[in-house]
Amino acid sequence: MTKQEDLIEKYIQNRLSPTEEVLVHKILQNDINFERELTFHANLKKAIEKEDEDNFRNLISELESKANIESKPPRRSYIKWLVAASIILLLGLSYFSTFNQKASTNDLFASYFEPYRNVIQPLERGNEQQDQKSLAFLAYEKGEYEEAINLFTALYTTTKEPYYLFYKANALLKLEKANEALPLLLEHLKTNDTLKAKTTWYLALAYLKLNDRPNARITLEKVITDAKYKTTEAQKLLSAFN
Amino acid sequence: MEENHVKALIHNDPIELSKLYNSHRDLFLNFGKKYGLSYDDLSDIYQEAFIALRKHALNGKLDAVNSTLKTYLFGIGKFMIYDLLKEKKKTTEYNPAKVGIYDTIEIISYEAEDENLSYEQGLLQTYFKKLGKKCQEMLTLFYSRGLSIDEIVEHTAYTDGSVVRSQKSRCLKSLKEMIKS
Repeated sequence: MTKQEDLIEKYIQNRLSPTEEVLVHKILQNDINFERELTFHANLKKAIEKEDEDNFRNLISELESKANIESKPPRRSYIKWLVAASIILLLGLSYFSTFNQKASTNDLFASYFEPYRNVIQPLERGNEQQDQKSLAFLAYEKGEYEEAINLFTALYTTTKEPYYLFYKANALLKLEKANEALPLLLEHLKTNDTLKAKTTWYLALAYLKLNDRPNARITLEKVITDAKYKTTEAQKLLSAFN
Repeated sequence: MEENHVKALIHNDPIELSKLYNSHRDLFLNFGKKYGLSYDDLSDIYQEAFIALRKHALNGKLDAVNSTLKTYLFGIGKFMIYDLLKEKKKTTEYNPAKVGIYDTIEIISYEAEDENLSYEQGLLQTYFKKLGKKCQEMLTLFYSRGLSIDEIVEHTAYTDGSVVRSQKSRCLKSLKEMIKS
């Protein structure tokens, strides 16, 4: 190993002695190849740290999902739910066709809907390296939803990260474009994204906004049986338009 | 702090982490409840506090800590609870003692770092993921977990430092070749 390689290794692991630190600064001023090599290793360190943290986050997220399921009462199976939902749908259709004008679904939507907060990209003030992902979530947090929607669309096309579907749908709901949000939420429900537990609630609100009472009702009941997110709100909302 | 717990955090040990995560989760959710936050908020905070705890383990902050992992984790969690309450209530200061909440957990402040990668760093992460498993493990130990060559020998099945060094430089070489092509 050359002296320069040794210095780079120590620099990366913060093990330089004060004398070696001075030496590194000196070489940096005179040797462009050394500078390039040092930058490469420093960038690689950042990249690997990020990958290591991403893996840790995934592990924690799995542990949380398991813990969440175990600490809740057992749920009915999917098939049973589907059968129950179809029955409710049939009953609901006949009920709602004659009884359509109770509480305004629009008002209910307005009082219950709030865009889900950004849990994907932590944003900091004075952060100068703005990549597209940060810009998208920045626009979202600032309430610039049109801009956020454009960025989420582009990011989803390139990365296929399911959470972009979820946040784009939230932005669309905020802009009262429930008809566009609906297919995104249904698509998001098919994925394994960790935010999925929250999607059903927003799906219910989208149906509500579209004045599709039967589906809103079924979906709210699903939110209640899932008992993962907004259970109390779903119960209140359900009784408000019953 | 318990050295074996710090090691489990640094090295992403799934079995030990699962034990640690689950053994404090319910207690934390109960602890947080009195601050009036919802189950969803608290489980989000618990996850984030755990991630912050690992960052402190990686940058050596835990080495000099005398308290147990649980107390430290709850300290970070409490900091995050205050943060969220401040955000929700839009007030500049939140003082739970005023509303009658008392506990002895000392707050551990946590500043989220800038986690955005530059364009070059993003590319490097992509190429890194294409390396073989052994190379990924070796480079992770050196670059992210800060193990010296000797520590890598202790931690892995490699027989001595020179084997580690030559394996590491082979891995770096294949990474650089990927970038060039």
